[in-house]
Amino acid sequence: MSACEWTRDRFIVSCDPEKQDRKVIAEFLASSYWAKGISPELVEKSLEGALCFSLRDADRQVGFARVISDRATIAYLGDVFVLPEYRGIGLGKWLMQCVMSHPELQGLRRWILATRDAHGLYEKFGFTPLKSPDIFMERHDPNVYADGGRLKTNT
Amino acid sequence: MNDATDNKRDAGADAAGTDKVQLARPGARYADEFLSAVRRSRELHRGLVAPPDSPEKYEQYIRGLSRENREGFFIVLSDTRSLAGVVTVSEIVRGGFQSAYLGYYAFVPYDGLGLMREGLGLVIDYCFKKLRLHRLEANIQPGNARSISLARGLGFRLEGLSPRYLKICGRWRDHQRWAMLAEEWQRPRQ
Repeated sequence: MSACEWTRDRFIVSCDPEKQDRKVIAEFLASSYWAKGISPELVEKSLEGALCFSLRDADRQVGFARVISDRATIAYLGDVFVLPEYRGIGLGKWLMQCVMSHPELQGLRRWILATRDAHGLYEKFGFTPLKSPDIFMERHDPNVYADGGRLKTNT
Repeated sequence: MNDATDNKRDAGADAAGTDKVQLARPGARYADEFLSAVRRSRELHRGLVAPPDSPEKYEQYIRGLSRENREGFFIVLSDTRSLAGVVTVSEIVRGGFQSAYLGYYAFVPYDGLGLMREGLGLVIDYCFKKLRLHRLEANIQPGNARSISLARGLGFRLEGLSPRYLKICGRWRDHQRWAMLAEEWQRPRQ
């Protein structure tokens, strides 16, 4: 199956694994508030198991999003970013439109995401605060990347 | 208000804007952002326009804008306030002429997105309604298709060709003379 692709002006959103610029993604995530300190190796592995969306200005990657999903019932959206100089021209919203319109992500029962400051963006796509927070649980280790986020190996 | 610059700043341009872009008055606070925008736009500007590319030249540009016959505008994104483009209205001549030159350029990555069209619309509106000018003239190189389509889209008319008209990047370059009169101006619907 060929990878999904969308274009607007000179911008492209592509799901082609070959078009995910590992360096740009790893550098941004390592300095992001939600994945601070994550190692390039761990980022690389996180891309393999996800459906990745590369936002590109011609041949340069300027934004990213990835979806972890069984492509049938549920999806988790994460690591969404647009590089600072590309903000303010509607690209985040368009990237989200592409994500939400992906043919393999239709009819899901639930989408989940976490955000500190972009609630307004996701609300446009139907996201709301948890309606029943009491039924959700999490196991969260916020310091897991502190040692450089190296892949853990069992010895 | 202490001086002419402050009076100019008060002229109402700061308030003008659309959903996408707003006008801002050029000043020292933009120096770093301006110079880095010029650096990343070098390819786009090559042979067409030579914006200030050092702190000294930038300061000179800002000082030049305080002259009576010149006004400068920055087009900034409404959302992030990022610097998207520059418009300079120069050689404002009063009396029986009421005309001026319009110069403009966009910065990467905000070119080609219709933002200059919106920003220029605001400046042209300001020139005809607030400055009460009667005519604006933009000089564009014949090969600069994007600028020509922008000017035409805004309602400028081709008046003619001026051979070897402006020296840019060390060469005298032909320019087309595009002009618009106040009575021809129709602000594009946003």
